This record gives sequence, C-alpha cells and structure tokens, in this order.
Amino acid sequence: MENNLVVQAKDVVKTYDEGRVQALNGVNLDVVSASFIALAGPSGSGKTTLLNIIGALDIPDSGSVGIEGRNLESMKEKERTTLRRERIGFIFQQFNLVPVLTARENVELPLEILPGFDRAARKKTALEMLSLVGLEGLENRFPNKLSGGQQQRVAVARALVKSPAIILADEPTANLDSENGMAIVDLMKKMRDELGSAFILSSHDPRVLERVERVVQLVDGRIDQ
Amino acid sequence: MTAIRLAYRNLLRNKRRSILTSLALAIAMMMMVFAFGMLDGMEEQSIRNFISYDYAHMKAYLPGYLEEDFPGLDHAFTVPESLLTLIEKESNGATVTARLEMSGVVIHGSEETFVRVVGVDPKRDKEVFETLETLSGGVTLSDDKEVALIGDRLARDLKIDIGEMATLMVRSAPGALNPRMLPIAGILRTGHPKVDQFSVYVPLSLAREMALLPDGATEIAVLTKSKSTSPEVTAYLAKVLPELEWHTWVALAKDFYSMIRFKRYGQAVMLGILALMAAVGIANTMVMSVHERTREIGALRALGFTPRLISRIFMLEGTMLGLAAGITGVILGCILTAWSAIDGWSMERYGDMDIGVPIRDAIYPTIQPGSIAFSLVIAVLLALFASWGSARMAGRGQVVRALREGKL
Repeated sequence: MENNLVVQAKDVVKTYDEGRVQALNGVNLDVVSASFIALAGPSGSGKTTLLNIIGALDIPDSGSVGIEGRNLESMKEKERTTLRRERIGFIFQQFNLVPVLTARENVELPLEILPGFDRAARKKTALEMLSLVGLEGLENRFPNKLSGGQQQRVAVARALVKSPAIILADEPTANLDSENGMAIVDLMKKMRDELGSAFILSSHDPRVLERVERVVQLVDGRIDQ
Repeated sequence: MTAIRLAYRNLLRNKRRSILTSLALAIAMMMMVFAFGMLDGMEEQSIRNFISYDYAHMKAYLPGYLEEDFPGLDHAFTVPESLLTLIEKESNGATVTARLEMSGVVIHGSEETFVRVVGVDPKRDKEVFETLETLSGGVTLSDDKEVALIGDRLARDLKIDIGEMATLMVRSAPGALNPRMLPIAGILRTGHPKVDQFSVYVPLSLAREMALLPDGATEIAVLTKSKSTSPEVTAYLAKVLPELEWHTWVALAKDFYSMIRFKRYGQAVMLGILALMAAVGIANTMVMSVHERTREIGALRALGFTPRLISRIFMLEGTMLGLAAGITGVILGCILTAWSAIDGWSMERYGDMDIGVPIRDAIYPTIQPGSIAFSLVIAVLLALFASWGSARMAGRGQVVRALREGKL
C-alpha cells in the first residue's frame, strides 16, 4: 500500500494575511494511485488551499507534503513547475481553457512543454483523448463555440493527456447544470478506470459526493474524522 | 513555437486594439522613413551638385586660402599649363582645370550686385565640371570671346537677358578697380544656388587679364575616375606638390555635413519622441492584455509553463506588434517617399534664402535600405521595451492569486 501512495500530507498548516486567516490547521491526508476522492466542506473550509498545496501551486507554512515520494517543501519553484508539468493535471471550476486555441490545441498544450512529443504525436494523442471524452468532431472548435459541459470535457482531456499521477479538480461541476455536472463526474471516473490517475475533487455538491469512493470532510481547516 | 502561436493568436483576439496600437507606431516609422528619405535625397543631390559645379573630387589652394573670410587674389598662384599636365599624369588619368576666383560687382542699368567672378578655361573646365554646359539659354564660353555667363537668378535680379551688356568690375591683384563691359552670352541654370545666384563666369584668359595675373589661378580642381579614390589621389598629390593645400570634396563640404548631421540628430529626437509616445500606447495595450488574462496566465502556470515562458509570450506579442507596425510604417513611408519623389519637395518656399544646401529647385527623397532596416529595428526595440514591464509582471505573478482572484 505504501508503494501506491501518490499524495502524503502530514500536519499541513497554512495561514493567510500574516497568520490572521487559518486556512489549514494540521491536515493529514494519504491518497493512493487510482483513487477517486472528494474534499468536501463549506466555503472557506480549506478545500482549495489543500488542492493548491497538493498541486505544488502553494507551499505549506508547516508540515510536509509528498508527491510520489518527493517532498514539496524542499523543492525550488522551478522543480515544482516541472512536477506540475509532468505529474499533475488540473481541472478548474471556470474551465480556464485558452480562448485563442481550438479544443485540440488546448489538449495539445501540456504536451508542447513536455519532451518527447513531436507535432504528429501531440496531435494523435490529443485527438485520441478528445475522442475518449466524447468530443470527436469538435476538435477544431474554439472554446467560445463549445457549451460549458463540452469545455469542461476539453479541460478533462487537457488534464489527462500527459497521463499524470494526480488530477486535481477544484469544484469541477460548479459552473455546469446538474446533468452536465454529473456527466463530467462520471467521465472523470471512467477516465480514472481507463488511465489509472488518482482524482482529487473538491465539491460541496451532494450528488458529486455520492459518486466518489471516499469523501474527506474539511471543517475550519481540519479533516473532520 | 507554442509561445509564438499563443502570442500571434492573442494579437488577433483583439484585432481592432492591435491595429490601433500598432498604427501609432507605424505612423512614427512612416515619418522616420520619409524624413530620412528626405535627408538622404538631399545629401545625394547635394553631393552631386558639389562635385559637378563646385568642388570636383578635390581641389588645391595656396595654404591659408580657405581660412580667409573673403578669399581673394592674395592667395593666387601661378599655374602654367605644364603643372596641370603634371597633375593629370600623376593622378592616373584624372581631368584637371585651374580657376581664378575673385570678388566683383556686376552692374546692369540701375541694378548692381556683388558677385563671385570665376575665370574658367572653357576647354578644361568642361572636363571637370558640368557648369558651362548647364545653360538655360544662350551659348557657353569660348577662349576667343570676351563674354560672360551668369546664373539665372542673378540675371533675374539684374533684369538682364542674353545679349545685353553688363559692367563687370573687379579689383586687380595690385588693388586697382578694373571694369569691363561684357555681353551676356548665356544664362546658367544648375540648381546650385551659389552658381545660379551669385556667380559670373568669364574665360580664364579674360579673368587673368582683369586681375593682372598672367598664368594666375586661385585653385586647381581635379576630377578622378571615381570619387571613392579621391582620398588616396589627394594624399598622393599632397606629397607630389606639397606647396599646395589639397582637400577632398568631403573635406570641402564639411560645413554641409555638419548641417546634415545636425538635421539628422534633430529629426531623430523629434521622431524619437513621437515613437516613444507610440511605445507608451503599446505598453498600455500590453498591460491591459496581462490584466485581462490573469486567470489564463494562472492556468498556464498550473499546467507547468515556466515564468520565463509566460514572459516570452508577452514579449513576443510586443515584438509582433512592433514588427507589424514597423513593416506597415516602412511600406507607408516608402509609398510617401516614392510619391514625393515624383515632383520633388519644392525649395521654392525658401525663395532666395540660403539654407546651406546646394539645391534650389526641389529635393527628391530617396529610399535607402539602411533607413528601412533602421526603422524596423527601432520599431521592434521600442515594442520590446514597451512590453518588457508587462511581460515581467505576467511571469512573476502568483499562480494561486491569479487563479482565485484574477489578479497577479
């Protein structure tokens, strides 16, 4: 089991505003590969902060976070960027697709900054991924010509195209209607089954929480046991 | 490649803004190409006029001649035919002539004016200068006729025409006033104000007679086979005939070159200010672009884009904006320059005023590859400079804040 750990957070503390706001207060979390878990809790409970720290976008004030056995606190910014580029995928609430790129180009984007993918390989992989998320035929559309659900599918494909160890999805259904939202969760679960990446979602939507394998409840920056 | 594509597509995202922003810089570059085209054209024409009508490729004087405010016969020297033949021989086939120049007064009816009287050897002078062949009417000088040629503006001022008599009065070398009634054989129209407005040309034999200086001359002019060899030939002749002071046409035109340099600096400063104002526009556009795309920047950073790559995208946007502006400006500048060169930039507006340029009718601007390259480089450098701050800001922003708050 120890070998399958992709995330290991120990006593993670994070504060903002010079310590006045306690976002995380001693969080411990282990995530194994191919997990499908959700961080749940009300607004301000620390879900996004924890995702940011696991995603190497932020560093804890104290405690430690290991990603596939590598300790984040000891990494320099450049190393964290490399880690994100190679091992972590992100899905955002607001999709955050690059508006000037087509669906295929958006999916190709993570591969363009990875070594070992020539143009043809990038295109082939992106098209395969778009096909997997059900967007065959829409590859050349720009984001503004896609529905919210379709945009989030592109975002899922973009996050998965480099076969990362971890996918972090911050409120991935919040900007979608319930039907599209649940379809996205189901899609993510299907992709987890096919590709084996660990998914960590944040959400307070009960229907999302029903679909995950494990719910980690956060309250006031602590995990509610 | 990723950065180039993103930069290019982002410029197209706000087409109108990109066009308007680059237009300001394009106008500045257009003005730069045109202004430099004017100066280049002016310089080219001036050099042509200097060489054709005034300096040839080099001239020799007695030492101290050029230092005089009103150089005169005090610095005349004897120039036998054998000396000119020797110079021809030593300068490897160059053509050579002697001129005797002195101050004088020309009178016609109630009109009179100070002039430079130039004694020229009609046969030799034509081999070196184009002056005697640039007539707007009448006939040119010959050795055996006591006649004068005058510039058309001088003729206008004196209200004199071809065939009419004018009194030419010079002070001879010993100091006596020596008047002579001469018919005007022809009227010169060279385009060089010094010739057309202030000069009377007479045969050298007559000038020598009036100056009481047999074989006398104040200068020897040499036209080499190519103007590029004139410095070497000048240096060589200075060694062969060290008693004379030898000057290339470039040295003789040094005041003109100072003036051109001053004009270039002046124009560069003015255009630089204009270009800087345009660059502020680019800086503003780039800052707006960064602020509009903070979440996108955050997302790219989350995907693993390095701060340097993010900065590069914005620097490339600025560069493309500058390049587009530069190319547009150069094309517009070339069109404006070519159009202005059809009829030239008239100098009539300056009337008879001496503005230090040996051109009186019109300046014909020219398009020089150097000016085009300079304008393009300036446009790109300005755009780079203008986008540097925003590119740095984009690269340095905090990812979490960019994603959460849309602020860098």
